[in-house]
Amino acid sequence: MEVVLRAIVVYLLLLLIFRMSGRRTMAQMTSFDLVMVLIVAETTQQALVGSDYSITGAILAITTLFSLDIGLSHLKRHVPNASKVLDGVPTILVREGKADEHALTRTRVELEEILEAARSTQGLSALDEIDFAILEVDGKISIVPRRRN
Amino acid sequence: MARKPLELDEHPAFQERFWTLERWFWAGFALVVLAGLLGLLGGGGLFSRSTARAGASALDYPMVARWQSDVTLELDLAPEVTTITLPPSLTDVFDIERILPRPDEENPGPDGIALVFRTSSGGHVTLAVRATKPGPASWEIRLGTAELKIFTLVMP
Repeated sequence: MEVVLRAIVVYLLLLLIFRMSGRRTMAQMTSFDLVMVLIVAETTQQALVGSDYSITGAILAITTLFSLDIGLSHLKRHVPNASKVLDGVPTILVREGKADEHALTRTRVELEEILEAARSTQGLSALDEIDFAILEVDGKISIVPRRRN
Repeated sequence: MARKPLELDEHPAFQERFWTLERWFWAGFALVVLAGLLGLLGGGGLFSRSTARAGASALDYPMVARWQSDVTLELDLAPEVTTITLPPSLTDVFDIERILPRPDEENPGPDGIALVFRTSSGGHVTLAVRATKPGPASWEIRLGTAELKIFTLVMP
């Protein structure tokens, strides 16, 4: 029973911490972020199983985590607004070539990151070539190029 | 051909509310770190331990401990005190992992386990213990005939 309760608490706490730390925190994945993910995983492991090193305990913890994940995906599908709260909503960062400074500040995204996404995904070289830049719920930046006449 | 409008629900009011909530949580994260540094969440620090006295004897104990983690009870015994009694209220909260120095006798009784140190002449005794359940815990320990009532918060 203890392992199941530990898994539920750890899952919900991690969900809350990741959600509240902002979308960009884990999406950027610089080498330092990778180190952070490894440290979080290592730190969580102890809280998840405690002193129970049995295969049964590990299977129980893993099954609980997957069940929670499946449960939440059903919740997001069937409960209005659940997806909005759990995953967030996309944020428009650039509109018709103009950066939304307020949205950039609130989402902690640098203009340079948008230009980088524009270069790498669409081959665009300037901000005014972007129709929309959108920060998606997974933290990635989508670029919609302006139509050239 | 005119471009179709962007099909995207922005929910601006929700985003603004969420961003504000996010900042409150960041302040909460900072408070958790600060509480950790001060020892309010156990594991050492300025406010994690305290001292209780009974005459010339003293007990240094954790005010905040962590579930299934080792902590120590540090006892400075007055010369006349040769017996430490661990009542059930203590052994219900903590597993006794180690006693240093080893007592000359361990006598279980209805009032708890009496640890007798025949060679003691005002020495220092360390009890390494491990909290067995989370939550607030009130427990006692007897140094000779004097009883100390202690409160420890065991963090999950």
